Amino acid sequence: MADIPATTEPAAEAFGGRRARGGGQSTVRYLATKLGGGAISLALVAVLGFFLFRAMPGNPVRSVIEGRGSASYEEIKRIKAEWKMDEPLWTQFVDYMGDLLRGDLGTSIKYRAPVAELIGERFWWTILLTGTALLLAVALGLLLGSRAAWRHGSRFDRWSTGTALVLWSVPTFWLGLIMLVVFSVGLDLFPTAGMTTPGGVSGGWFAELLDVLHHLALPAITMTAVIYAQYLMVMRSSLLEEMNADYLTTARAKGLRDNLVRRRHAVPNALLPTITIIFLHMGLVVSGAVTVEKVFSWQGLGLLTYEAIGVPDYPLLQGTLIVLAAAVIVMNLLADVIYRFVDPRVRSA
Amino acid sequence: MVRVVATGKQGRKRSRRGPAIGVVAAALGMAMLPAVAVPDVAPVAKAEQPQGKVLRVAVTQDIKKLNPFQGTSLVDTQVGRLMYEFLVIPNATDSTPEGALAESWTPSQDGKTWTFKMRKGVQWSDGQPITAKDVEFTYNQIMTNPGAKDANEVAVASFESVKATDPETVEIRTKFVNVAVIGSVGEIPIVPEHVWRDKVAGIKDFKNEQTPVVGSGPYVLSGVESGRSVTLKANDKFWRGRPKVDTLQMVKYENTEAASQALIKGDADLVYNLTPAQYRTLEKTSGIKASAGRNRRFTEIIMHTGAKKADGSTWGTGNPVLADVEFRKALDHAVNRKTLIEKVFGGYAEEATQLIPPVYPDWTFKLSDDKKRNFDIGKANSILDAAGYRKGDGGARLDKQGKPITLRLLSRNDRAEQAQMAEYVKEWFGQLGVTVDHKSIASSQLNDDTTSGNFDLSFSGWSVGPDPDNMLGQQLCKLVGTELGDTNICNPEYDRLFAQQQAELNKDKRKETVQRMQQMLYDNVSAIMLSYDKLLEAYRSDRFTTFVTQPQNGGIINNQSGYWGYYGATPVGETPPAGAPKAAEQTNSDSDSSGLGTGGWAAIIIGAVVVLGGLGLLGARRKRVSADDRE
Repeated sequence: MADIPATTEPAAEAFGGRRARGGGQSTVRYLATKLGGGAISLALVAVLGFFLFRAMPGNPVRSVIEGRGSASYEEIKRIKAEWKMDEPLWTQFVDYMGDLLRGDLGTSIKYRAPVAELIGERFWWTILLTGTALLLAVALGLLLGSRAAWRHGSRFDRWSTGTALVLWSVPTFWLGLIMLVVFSVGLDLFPTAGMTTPGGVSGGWFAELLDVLHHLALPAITMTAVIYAQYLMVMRSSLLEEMNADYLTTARAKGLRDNLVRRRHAVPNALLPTITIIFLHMGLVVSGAVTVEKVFSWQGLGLLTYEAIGVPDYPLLQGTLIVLAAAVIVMNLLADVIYRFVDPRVRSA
Repeated sequence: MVRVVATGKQGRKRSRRGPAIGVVAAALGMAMLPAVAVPDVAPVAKAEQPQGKVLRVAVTQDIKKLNPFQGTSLVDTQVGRLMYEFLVIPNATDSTPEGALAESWTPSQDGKTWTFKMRKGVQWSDGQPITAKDVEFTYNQIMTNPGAKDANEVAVASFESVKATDPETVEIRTKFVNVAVIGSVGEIPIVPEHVWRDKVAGIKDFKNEQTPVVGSGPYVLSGVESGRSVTLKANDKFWRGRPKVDTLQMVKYENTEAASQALIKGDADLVYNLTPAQYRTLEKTSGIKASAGRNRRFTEIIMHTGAKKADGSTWGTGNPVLADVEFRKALDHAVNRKTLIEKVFGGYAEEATQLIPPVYPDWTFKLSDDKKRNFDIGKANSILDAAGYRKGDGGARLDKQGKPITLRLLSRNDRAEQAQMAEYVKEWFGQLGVTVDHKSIASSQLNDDTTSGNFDLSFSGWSVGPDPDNMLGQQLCKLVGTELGDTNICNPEYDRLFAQQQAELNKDKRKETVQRMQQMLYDNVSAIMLSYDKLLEAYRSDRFTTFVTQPQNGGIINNQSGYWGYYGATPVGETPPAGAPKAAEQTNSDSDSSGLGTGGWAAIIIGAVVVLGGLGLLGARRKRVSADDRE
């Protein structure tokens, strides 16, 4: 415990030092501007979402009673009153904004449960699946992409690029089912559905963790297989652009080994466009992946949103839109900030 | 020199990895942290591990609310039926009401009061006696507590009061004479007053997941994983006798393909809602028995018949030709149901003629051969000719104003079979000279369009309850152009008969009236009835010998309006539970074919590809390494 302050101190110094070099006050202002912009975007999304979803075709009351086989006038009247659908649009809007400011996302029409609770139940499961897949895809994409570019035209390049593109092109649903049939049913390596064994497992938290990983493996691998091509291609093409740069010739002239030239000189520069795309995708991690979730019965936010559209479940759609928008905005903000540190040109601009 | 990040001072060893990668990794790590303010994860009732003989059912519908006052999804109501017994229950044979918590029931002279005598010595799972007070409490909650209305408001709509006159007697007084009361009480699960008494204020938000949940059905709830699975235990106190399955688990699968794979693998014991292709695969798999059960569902094409709304106003934009019964007759003659059933439903459906499916034989009318509208394009054409719809240039059928007739046909884009059927319908109607403009749209939009009347033809379908009252009630004049209407047709004589059957205490007379009403709908071509769809199910026959179906002869295991399927489930080596009706002989044969199956073969092929690919890569790498060496 005692050494924690000791290690944080130099880090803080380093940060302070860097900030001073980067222009001190301007960084704070820069951040404030970005944060303000983010907050305004989010507010606009909240307003837009309300009207956008109500402009969608569909009648939630009909969807609610359809599932019941029978209904009555009284019931329709009661349902309409319950969801305030019998009130004018602007009073609904004022109520919605008021609730939102109090942190209340409302109650789902379809699930009859608080929207915040529904999203909360699925939030971390979504992050777990899409986050893991993104991590794997980025790692795999960057690794294979940089190697493919370094030896462009080689058999490795052709094979790895070709494989990635084939996987990128196949329908996710189909690939998922094939994975399920082969690795779960055929080889009996993984469970067929869900996020945990129904009813749980015995053996404490470690067994539970293993159980989750066991369930996570197939959907995460499927998703990785589908999406890693985009990182591979971006990394490959941006590295190819750097390949003939003078500084690489300089590095080689200094006698550096080929691997070092690639890792220390070429890759860091080629990474910049990749960072942009990674952060763009990171914002979307929260939105989940409907098809993968559907195949592997992974109860994520993607499926939740999909189900909500069918009703249409206004409160739930508004809630998921806000959470999704917030994630994208925060990630963009983070990308802007990180870009400042990664790319000196942005900092000095 | 373009060294990108100012972390170079941290030493050679770290910078070798590329500092930017470190930054990206750190950022990714941050993405894993709470990026946005999220609400607390709701407390989930503790899951329970299955014990003893386990039946795992793969369900594809939502598990939403286990509070019986609110659960409306098919799975919710199914779980409700398993947890809580009813006053009466539709029997397994033909769904006619049979005593459950009530032993007998009699109407008063004026037909407005029904007296139910409770079964003696029946207990809740916690050992407390089940009395008439529990019934009074449950019904009164639904009638008076706004938070308790969601699931069964319609069932008690005609109730005026419910009173327990003594612990063994309940009196239900209705606002008007309504024989459908008996059907209605067969839909309402009775909850224990001693448990729910202090829940009434917040009944809307009460989840009913705090296990063990006190119940009276064949199983009691013992574990819930929100939206994902429900675990139930056999109820030792169930009055018909304990089920032979110790633990019943319902696990949510998001698609039936994964569910059928789970059955093959053995992760699930019972699956349903299969597609014909999945069904056929499972039929050939060893250790699995597939069953195509006669269901209570029908598929139809509804038409905008031009009927006016209750207030006399017109609605929507339906083509006026559909207001002509002769025109509708011609369309009905032009639909080949045999082809649809064979090509679209894989043979797993029956031809439909009326709203009430044949699984309720009491309520269906016998259609005489001379009245039946068979597939006959020639006849359809001559009906149209005779009715004054002549053919114009190019064979297009013209309306009375001399304009070519085009009909809009709507189908749901989440139902593949509807789009398939639409193609056939298009071709057949084309042979009459009628153009069909088919649109496959989201179900929410279809609901919107059919409610507002912006359609000519639309696919539709319903699950029909054991009492005909609900289904017949959806064809009344007052429902034209509302969310509640089915065929949107108006016939005052039909409405009169509806009221008559509702007040008819003599079952035979009621049957007669109901059958006449259906005949009336048929003669009037209220809709183009297409098929009674079978429910395709399959189970592990190496683990379970029998399930009780409803109807008992060739019916369904899941989606029943009773608990017979799960209650009568008999594990291998056991005898059926004492209180379960005898399971009918299963006609679907259990295939003996053994071998690898699709999964096995696919695994071998993919395995071979992976191995070959790996070898190829290895070879390529070796070659490349040697080339590097040469440099």
